[in-house]
Amino acid sequence: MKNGNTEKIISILQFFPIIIVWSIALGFTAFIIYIINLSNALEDKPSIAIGVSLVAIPLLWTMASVLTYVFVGLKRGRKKEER
Amino acid sequence: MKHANDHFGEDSVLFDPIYKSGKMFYVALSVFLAVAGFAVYLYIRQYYLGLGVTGLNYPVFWSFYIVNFVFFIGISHAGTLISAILRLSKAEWRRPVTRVAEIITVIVLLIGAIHPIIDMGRPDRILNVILYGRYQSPLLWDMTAITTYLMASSLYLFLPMIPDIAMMRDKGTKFKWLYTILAWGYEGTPAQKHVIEKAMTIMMVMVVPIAVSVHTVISYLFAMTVQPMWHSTIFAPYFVVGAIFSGTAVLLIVMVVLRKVYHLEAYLKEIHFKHLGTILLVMSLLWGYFTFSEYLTTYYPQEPHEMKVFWYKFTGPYTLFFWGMVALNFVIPILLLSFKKDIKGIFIASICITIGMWLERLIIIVPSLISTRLPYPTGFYIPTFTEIGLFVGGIALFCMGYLLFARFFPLLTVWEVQEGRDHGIKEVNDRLRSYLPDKK
Repeated sequence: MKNGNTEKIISILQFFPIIIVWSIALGFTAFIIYIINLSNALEDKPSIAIGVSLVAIPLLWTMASVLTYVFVGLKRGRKKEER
Repeated sequence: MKHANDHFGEDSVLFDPIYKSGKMFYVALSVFLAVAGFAVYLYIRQYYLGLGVTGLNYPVFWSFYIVNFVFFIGISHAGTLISAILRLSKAEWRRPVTRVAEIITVIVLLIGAIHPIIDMGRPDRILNVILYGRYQSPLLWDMTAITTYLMASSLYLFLPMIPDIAMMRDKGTKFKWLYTILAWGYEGTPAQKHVIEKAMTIMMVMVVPIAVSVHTVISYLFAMTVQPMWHSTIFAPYFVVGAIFSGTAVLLIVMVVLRKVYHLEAYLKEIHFKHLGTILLVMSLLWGYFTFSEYLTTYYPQEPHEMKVFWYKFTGPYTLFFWGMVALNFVIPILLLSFKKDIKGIFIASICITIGMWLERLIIIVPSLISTRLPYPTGFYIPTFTEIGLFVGGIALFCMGYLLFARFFPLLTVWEVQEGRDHGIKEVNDRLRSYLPDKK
């Protein structure tokens, strides 16, 4: 029982970096969308913000996906061997 | 006598900083902590008294803090970029160098990113950037590029650490709980190795353009304005070259120190210093070429505002810094790296370059600002104790970060060294054969 609880805590803590990375990626995406909306509302030019978003958002999402892929891949790789 | 790290086999020396750290670790940590703590005090003092405690005054609104910002971010190019290029090009000598370099990037990026906030005076002003930011401003491009680079560098540092962390979880005696969490269940199965390799390849390819974009965008902070001697089309490549140049120099300094302090002579060999010394020599020549082009294209048209700044640097109040920069970045390194290419010579050249590149940032930023184009008197700038103290604090933070990292994780990529020993030699042999004409 104690082992089961420890494993649960470890699993939760292991998931922490994934939460941080996705928070940064999603937070930055929300920020860029907000800036595009703001520039639209102020009749400013949103074109540069759109340009930056086309580069930055896919990059951040790809990095977050890479980390998630590693996390899932390592768990699956271990399970396969155990079987 | 049996030591806690004896079961790591022939690479046990790489685990010494974790399992055998003595009194010196705590002494060094206390010194760096005291210096960093004093810098925090200076910052709090500046927060309460305002930017009046600095040497900033009209027309010099950017100086020491921005010089340090560009300098620290420049150094960050040492790590992830060099490591990614070496891994992508399958340079076999990279194995003991990569992690040493990657750690520099992450620590220095964090320190560098703080500097614009220090320069703002009131840190709450960062909220204005978030709430009312406009992507027309290169400042916001900078924020985006640095955030992306920090994330990429952190991942690129963490992924190759997973097998080493798992090794410490399985064989080590300390901090097992920490390594169990960070190892993510890695057991070295073929499937897990494949996942790590695939992820690292993706990150390697991504990191190179991101790193180049960071210093390109930093150069745009200056080049997008119409200040004399800032508005230049070659600033982006000039800054990128300067960043790799200063980054490599700092990497070499760190390698010499680690070699001496942690007795890594068997791993960080003279050949590694010679290869990096060659990169340094090439970068020195490239830096000289860019500097020559930059100043010649300013001098040739004789535009009065540009010439005013030009002469400030060549013969005016900044002449000592300018010619010091030329000597430290070009003359001395080229002589040393051409004729005295041993560890001592490379170390001296690296120190010269680090100081010279800091001077370069100063020479780029301050003289362009002291020269006013409106009818105001020419400005002057002398840094105060607060600014110098915060710079020293930044260096202490860097040393402290490195020291703490060494306390918990191996400074060299152990699995990569072992892989080189087990498979690298055969792989290089096969690769070499594939380059040569087939036997008939």
